[in-house]
Amino acid sequence: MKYDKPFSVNELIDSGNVNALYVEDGERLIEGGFATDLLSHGIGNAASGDAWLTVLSNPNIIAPASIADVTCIIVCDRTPVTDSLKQKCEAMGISLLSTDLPITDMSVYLYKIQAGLL
Amino acid sequence: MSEILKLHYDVDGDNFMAAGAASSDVKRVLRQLGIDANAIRKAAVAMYEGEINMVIHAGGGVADITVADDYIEIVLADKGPGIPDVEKAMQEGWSTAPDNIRALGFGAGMGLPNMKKYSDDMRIDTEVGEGTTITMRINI
Repeated sequence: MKYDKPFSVNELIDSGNVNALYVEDGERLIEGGFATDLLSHGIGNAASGDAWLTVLSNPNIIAPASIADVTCIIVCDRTPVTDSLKQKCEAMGISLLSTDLPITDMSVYLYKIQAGLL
Repeated sequence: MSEILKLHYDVDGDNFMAAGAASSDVKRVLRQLGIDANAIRKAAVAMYEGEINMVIHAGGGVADITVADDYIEIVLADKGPGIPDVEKAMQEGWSTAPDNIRALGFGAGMGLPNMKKYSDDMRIDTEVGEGTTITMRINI
C-alpha cells in the first residue's frame, strides 16, 4: 500500500525498533511497504519507494531490490545479517535495516508511523 | 527506427551470487540514456527473470540487448535442457527449481509470468535437449 504520509529512512531509524546497517540516502522517503521472501514476487510487485520487508538475508535480494527501486530493505524477525549482504547493499546503493520485529509486526509499525499513531 | 545501442552479456551459470548483475547493469545503462523510467523497470524486471532462469535451469547463457528509438529488445539464449511444456511453465506458481534454490528466495514460479507481464511482446523458442531462446520487446 501507499502511505498517506511518507516518512524518511532517518525518521524510521530515529523512531527506534530498527538497526541501521547501511544507509544510502537517509532523506529518501519510504512511500509504502511490501513484504515477501520470494524474489520474483518482490521484483514484480514492490513499487519504487517501498520498504521491502523480508526474512531473506542472502545477497541475492539486492538485484531485485535495486531493479524495483525500493527505498530500503528491512530484514525482520532477528534474522542474522551477513557482512556480504551489507557490503553488497553499499556497492549497489540500497539502504539496509534490520529489526527484531516479525514481518507482520513491522508492517503494523510502519503503518502506525505513517498514520501518526506513534 | 535507428538503433542507439547494443549490449552483450555472458551470464555465468555457476555463480548465484552474481545472478542479476547483467540486468542491474542494463538498468544503469538505460538510466544513463535517459529512457523513460517505466520502460526501464519493465526491461530490467523482464531481463532479471530471464537471467535468473538461465542461471538456475540452463547453466548460464548469453544476453543481447538492443536499444532503439522506440523499443528495447532483449534476447536471452541458452543451451540448457529446454522447456518441455511451455504452457505449464507459463503458469504462475509452477516451478521446477530444486529446494536449495528455493531456500535462496528463487523458484517462486513467477519468472516466466513476470517476463510476459513486463514485456510488450515475448517469444519463446525452445527445444528439449537443445536450449531456449527468449525474445522480449519493450516499447518506449
